[in-house]
Formats: sequence, C-alpha cells, structure tokens
Amino acid sequence: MSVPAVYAVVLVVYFAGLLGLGFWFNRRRRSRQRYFLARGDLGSATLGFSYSATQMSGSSYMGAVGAERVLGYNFAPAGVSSAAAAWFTYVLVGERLRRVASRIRCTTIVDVFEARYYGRAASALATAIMLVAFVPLIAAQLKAAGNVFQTLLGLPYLAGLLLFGGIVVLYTVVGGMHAVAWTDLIQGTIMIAGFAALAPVAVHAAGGFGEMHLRYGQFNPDGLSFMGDMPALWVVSTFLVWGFFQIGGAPAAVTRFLIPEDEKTLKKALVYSIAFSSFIFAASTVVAIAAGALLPVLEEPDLALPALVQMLMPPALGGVLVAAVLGAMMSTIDSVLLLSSSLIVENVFVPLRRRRVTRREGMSLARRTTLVLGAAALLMAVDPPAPILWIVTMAFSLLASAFTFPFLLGVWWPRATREGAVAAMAGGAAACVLWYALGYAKHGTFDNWIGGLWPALVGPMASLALLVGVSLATPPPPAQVEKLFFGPDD
Amino acid sequence: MKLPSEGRTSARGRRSRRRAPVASIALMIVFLVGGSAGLLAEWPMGPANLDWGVWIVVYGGYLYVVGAALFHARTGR
Repeated sequence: MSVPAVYAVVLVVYFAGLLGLGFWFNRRRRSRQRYFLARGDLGSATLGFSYSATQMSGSSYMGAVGAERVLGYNFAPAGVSSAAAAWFTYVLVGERLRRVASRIRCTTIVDVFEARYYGRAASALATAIMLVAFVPLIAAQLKAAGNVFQTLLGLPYLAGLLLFGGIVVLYTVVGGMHAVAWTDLIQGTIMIAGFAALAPVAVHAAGGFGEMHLRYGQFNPDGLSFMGDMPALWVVSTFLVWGFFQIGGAPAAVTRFLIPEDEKTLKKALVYSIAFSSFIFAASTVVAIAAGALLPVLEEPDLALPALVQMLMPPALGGVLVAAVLGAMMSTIDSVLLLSSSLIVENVFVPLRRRRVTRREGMSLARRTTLVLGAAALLMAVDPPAPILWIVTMAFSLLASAFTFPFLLGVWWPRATREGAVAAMAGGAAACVLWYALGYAKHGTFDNWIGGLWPALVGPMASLALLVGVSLATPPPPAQVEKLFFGPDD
Repeated sequence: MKLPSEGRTSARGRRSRRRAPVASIALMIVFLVGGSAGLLAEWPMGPANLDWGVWIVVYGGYLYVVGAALFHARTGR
C-alpha cells in the first residue's frame, strides 16, 4: 500500500471517530446554553486540553516547526511564552471569570462584558470585533488544512477542503461544546503521542542532541542562540506577547473558564493545560532543530513537519502524526466556530427578538447559525480574497489589543467604567491596525513593523492608557456591578 | 446567586473578599523580566553545543512555568 493510501486509511478512521462523537452527544436533549457552553459537564482533563488545543492553532503549530527550523533558537522564546499562556490566563482571569459566570449564568464571554460594563455598548463592540477577526480565521485554518491534504495525500485542494471542513462543521453543528471539548481532548492526546514518537526518532537520526546542534549550525550558524537573524526587539516582543497577551488574544480559549462550576476543577485543568502545551512546544523546538539538521533544503519550509514525518516514520505512525496536525487545526476551528455562532445567537439575535425563545427554537437556531457560519467560512476558503488574508495576519494582535486589558482590569479594578472599556477596545484595535499600516507603508509587508515593535504590544498599551484615563474621567460603575464582580463570596 | 463553598472565612464566620495570588504574580514578573533580560544577555557556551542562555531561558523556562502552575494549583497563591 502506498504512503498516501496508508495516511488516507488512518484519517478515515480518525474522522469517523470524531463524527461518531459528535452524533453521540447529539443524542442528549439540551438547551442552547448547554449546547454552546456545557456548563458543569466537563472534567478537568477535558477542560484543560480543550483550552490549550484551542489556543494552539494548527497552522501556528505546523508553522512553528517551519519557522523554528529556519530561525532556530531565535524563535524558541515564542514557544516558551506560548506554553506559559495558560498560566497567565488561568491565574489572572480564569478563576474570577468562573465565579462571575456562575453568578450571572452567562453563555458567552461577551455576556460577561455586558454585565461588567453595564450595557450593550461594550458588548456590541466586543461582538463586532470578535466576529471580524474570527470568520476569516476559520477560513484561513480551513485553507491550511486543504493545503496539507493536497501535499500529503495528493488530493485536489477543493476536495480536501470540503472533506476536512465538512467533517469539522458537521460534528460542531450536531455536538456543540460537548463534542468540541471531547474532540479537543482526543486531538490533544494524539498530538502528544505523535510528538512523543517523533522527537526521539528525529534526534537519533540527527546523531544525538549535541551532534544535532552541530549539524544545525552548518545549516544556520546564527540559529543556535537568541540573537541571530532577527532583531533583538523582535525576539523580546515574541517572548512578551505570546504568553501574557493571550488573555485577550484567544477569547475562544478563555471561554473555557465559564464552564466549570467549582474552583478545584479549574485548578486541575490548569495543570493539564500547562503540561500539554509545555510538552508540545518543547518537543516542537527539538523537532524543528532536527528538521534543520536533516532537511537543510526544503521547497516549502512551512511543510517541514510533514516532510520530516514522511522521512522518518513508518506510514501508519506517520498517518497518526498527520492526524495530529489536522487535529490541531480542527480544535481551533471548532472552538472559534462555536464561539462565533454563540455570539450571533446570544448577543445579536436573541436580544433583537424581544420575545422568549423556546428550547426547541433555540437549539434549531443555534445549529442553523453554526452551519451557515461554517458554510460561509468554507466558501471563503475556496479562494480567499486579499483583505481576508490581511485580517488573518492581524487577528491575534487585534484581539489582544482590544480585549487584554478590558478583561484583566474588568475583573481586578472596580473603577473600570463602561466608557473606559469602549474607548479601550476601539482605541486599542485602531492603534494596532494603524501600527500595521505604518509598517506596511515603510516595509511593504504586514510582517515587518516600525522599529521591529509588534502591533500586539502597541495596541494593548494604547488600550490600557485609554481604559485607565477614560475610566478615571467618567462616573464610577453602579454599586451592583461592584458587588457582582468584587463583592464577598456570600 | 450563592456560590459553592469557596473563598476564605474570617474569624467572625463571614466570607471575605478574595485575595490576589500575589506569589504567582511575583513569579510572572520574574518570568517576564528575567526572561527578557536573559534573551539580551551574553552567555557562555554550555553542553550539547548550545549556550547557557538557551538552556536556562528555553528549556529551563518550560520547567519554570510547569512548576509555577503546579504551585498555583496546589496553594492558590
């Protein structure tokens, strides 16, 4: 049997399993709130893996190995910081969001905004910014998956896209958050198994840990320390941004904090998250350096990981690793798709409807919205127009700029006001886009910025200044908001 | 809207406001400031043809965040 045929068999089994899981959860009778959030239904392992699998997008997971193969240890601080993201978010906002979510019985992260910033202005703006970033993000992930199918299985791009996208959209539509979180757990386990198998084999093939670095040094002598190809400010920026700013930059992952009903589950979930992400990022560093040593010439650097898999692993195990790569993409797509759908239903449609939505109507609405959004993203991914790709480049920075400090100060600083939050979100997002535009005007690309300073640092700083300044200049929040968010537990 | 049993109870039996996880925040500051300084420093060569900076900031950094997360999960501080 040829290698693509073996990969295809493994993937068919894998996809059938995911779909089965989606339909299994479809058997339960649920409200649309449980469909979107599964409050209290997830254990700490499911929750922890789901947080980290959502945070690690597939293209960045594959792209991280590709980029690290080229840049070496210049890129490694971004990996450490990404692994630390769970620690920052769980400790700084996780427990507080969980407590508030239990009090107000919310369904989306934007509901928390609406309660904290007392009114629709902040929540409407938050919904708009998230949707602008999310739908192109889903399309971009689908496109990356289509490319993997094309390269590894020789399948036409459109066929790969429709097959992969159809499966993700289908299990998300039928299974909701239960299916999303459980498939995240399975995908995360496969990712760990895949890297645990690949990393030692790759190091051994490169001659051992020390020899691997000698060989890598012949490929890229500057890649064996932090300061090489990239400017110092770039290296430090990636270290600072990828951890702390995930508080605002990954709202689909942060939504997981609304699910548990007790503190113990959340704390255990943190341990699962941090162990999972630290292992994956540390292993991907080792694999990337081995890829540089073993594959110094590659036509498509982004496909370093699949190329290494094809070179070193038996086809059946290679198929599992390809499933792991696709699983990482799936776990981001399903979470972002479900969050986008919940925003449209809970924060746009239901408030506009002004009458009670029955359980049956609600579930039908939730599923139809998820389906339509998924289909729209699939359509977009067939041939994404340039502005969509620009938004994808900016998506993380835009979200981090708009939401990091409104989330953080929203749960820690009672004086933060509605006016301050609106100014912070709008101003932070605008500063981020402006910094990208200035970089583009100077360098002709969105990947190079004025002074090497990342827009994901500039935008949040503008947002913080506006949040503090405008809040202090406007009347304090109502007493009930302070009691709800900062009052004693009883 | 009562919460499940959590939070700290004072001597009078009334639940008090939650405390900030000061120790974890201090560890975060050490991670960010120390890590950034470590990236900019000059390091001597260490084992396996790598300088000590890579060993400490990258591979040591993973151990640090796992340890710090375990500390928070166990103590809540």
